[in-house]
Amino acid sequence: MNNLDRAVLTTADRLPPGPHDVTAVLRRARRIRRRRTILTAAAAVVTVAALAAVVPQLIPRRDYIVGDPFGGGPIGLWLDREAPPTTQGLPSGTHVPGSSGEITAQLRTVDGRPAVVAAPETAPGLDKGTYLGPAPLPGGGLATIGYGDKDRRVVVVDADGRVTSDHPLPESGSYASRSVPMTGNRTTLFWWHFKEENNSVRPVFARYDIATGGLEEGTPSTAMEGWEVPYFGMQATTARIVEWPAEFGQTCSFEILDITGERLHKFRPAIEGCSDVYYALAPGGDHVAALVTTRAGDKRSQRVVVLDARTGETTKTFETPEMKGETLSGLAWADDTAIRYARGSLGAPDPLVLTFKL
Amino acid sequence: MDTDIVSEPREGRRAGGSFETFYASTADRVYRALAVALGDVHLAREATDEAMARAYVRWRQVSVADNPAGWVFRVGLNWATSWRRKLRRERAFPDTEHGLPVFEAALPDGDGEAVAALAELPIPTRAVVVCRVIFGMSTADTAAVLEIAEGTVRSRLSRAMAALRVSLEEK
Repeated sequence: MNNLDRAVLTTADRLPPGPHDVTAVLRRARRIRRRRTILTAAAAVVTVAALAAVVPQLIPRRDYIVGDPFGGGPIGLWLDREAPPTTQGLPSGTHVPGSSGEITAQLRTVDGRPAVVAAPETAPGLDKGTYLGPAPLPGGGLATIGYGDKDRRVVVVDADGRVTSDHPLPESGSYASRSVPMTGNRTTLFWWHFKEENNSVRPVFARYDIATGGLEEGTPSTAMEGWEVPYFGMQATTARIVEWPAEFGQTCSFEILDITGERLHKFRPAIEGCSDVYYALAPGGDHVAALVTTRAGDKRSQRVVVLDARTGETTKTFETPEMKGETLSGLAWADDTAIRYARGSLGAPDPLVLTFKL
Repeated sequence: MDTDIVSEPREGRRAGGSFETFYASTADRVYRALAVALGDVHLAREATDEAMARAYVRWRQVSVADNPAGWVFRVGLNWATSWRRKLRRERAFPDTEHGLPVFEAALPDGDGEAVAALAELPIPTRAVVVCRVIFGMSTADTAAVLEIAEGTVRSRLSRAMAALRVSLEEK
C-alpha cells in the first residue's frame, strides 16, 4: 500500500458516518418513479403530437387501391347516356339503357380476372318484353318487371342468374307513362308510377315485397307539390333511398328518401361541373357516392364525389384516370369506408377496377 | 507506477439478492467513496441516496449488472457533478466544493501530506483513485464503471502519483 492508498483510506475512515436510511431511499425511489412516469407520459404525448403533425406530410397518402380487394358481388355498369342505345325496352319503345335505372352490364370475375359481362336483356319467363329494369340489387342480383305469357310479372334473380322470386305484379291501376327507375334492397323493390283519379294525375310510390309479391302504394307528403319523378335513377339501402332527377346542364342533384318515400333531404344542385351522374348510398346511410361524368366537347372525364347524405356537402373527391373511350361505368360501396369503381366496354379486355378509401 | 496502487477486486460483484441487503452492505462504502471523490460530505450523502434510489427503481437490471456498487458510485458521481454545475449556474458564484470538511480530519495523521495532495487533485482524478483503492477495481473495471478509456484511467493515476511525489518532495 502506498501513500496515496493510505491517504484515501484514512480520509474515508475519518468521515462522519452517513445517515443510511433505506426507508428514506425507498421513499425517494417512489418519487423518482412517479417523476419518470409523468415524464414518459409527457414525452409520449409530445411524440405522438409531433408524429401526428409530421407523418401525414411525410407519407404520401394513398386513398385508392388498384383492384377490388374487398369484392362483394358484381358491380352494375351503366352505359354512357350519350352512347348509342344497345337494347330495346317496352312499352315505351326505344330507350337509352341507364335512363331508367337499368344496367347494361356487370363487372364480374371470370376465370379469376375482372370482366365486363352483358346483363341479360330480360329475366327468365319475361319473353314478351321488359317494363322496368333490370335494376341492380345488393350482392349482384337483378330485378326485372316484364311481360310473361299471361301477365306482368316481377322476377328477381341472384348474382348467379338463379330465380329467387317470381310473382305476378299486383294490379293497382297505376301506370308509368314512360320508363321510370326501379331500385331495391334485399327485401323490397321501389319505384314511382302514376295514378289517375278525378281527372288528375298524382305520383305514387310503390313498394313491392320480394318474398311475398305484395305491393303497397303510398303518396308521400312531398309528392303532391314540388315533386319530380326521378327519371334518371334511384338506389336503395335497407333504410334509405337516393334518387336523382333528369337534369340538363352542368349540375347534378339528389334527394334522400326513407323507405316509405318520404323525402328527408333535397340537394339541388349538389354537384357542379357534372354532365351526368349515378349515385350510390353507403350501407350506413351517412354518405352518398356520386359517379360524375363531365363532358367538354369530345372529352369526357370521371370522378367519384363523396357527399354527406344529411348536409349535401362534398366530403371527398377521387379523380379517376383519363378515359380511353370506355362506355360503361359503375360504382358500389364495399362497406361504409370503401367504394368500388369499375369502368370498361363490352367486349374489351381488362376493365379498370379501383377501390377508393374514405 | 500503475501497479503500485492497483489492488485486485476484493469481492464478487453481482448483487443478486434483495435491494435492502445490497443497500446494507454497500451504502456506506459508496458514501465514503463519493465523499473522497467529491470532497463534500453533504453532497456525498445526497448523491448516495439519489443513486441508491435510482438503483432501487432499476433493481432488476442493476442487481444483475457486472458491478452494482460501481454503477451506484458512477450514478452518484454524475448526479453530484450535474447538481454542482446547476448550482453554480443558478447562484452565479464559482464553487461550493467543500460543504463539510472531508480531508481536514485526516490531515493530522502521519499521512497528512498525502491527504493534502489528495485534496488538491481534481475530482475526475480522485474518482479514479477511489475506484481503485476503495472499491478495489482493476484498470479495466474502473474504465468501465466511469465510462472512460483505460488509457485515461492510467494517465489519471500517474498524475495522482506524480502530484503526491511532488508534494512529498517539497516537504
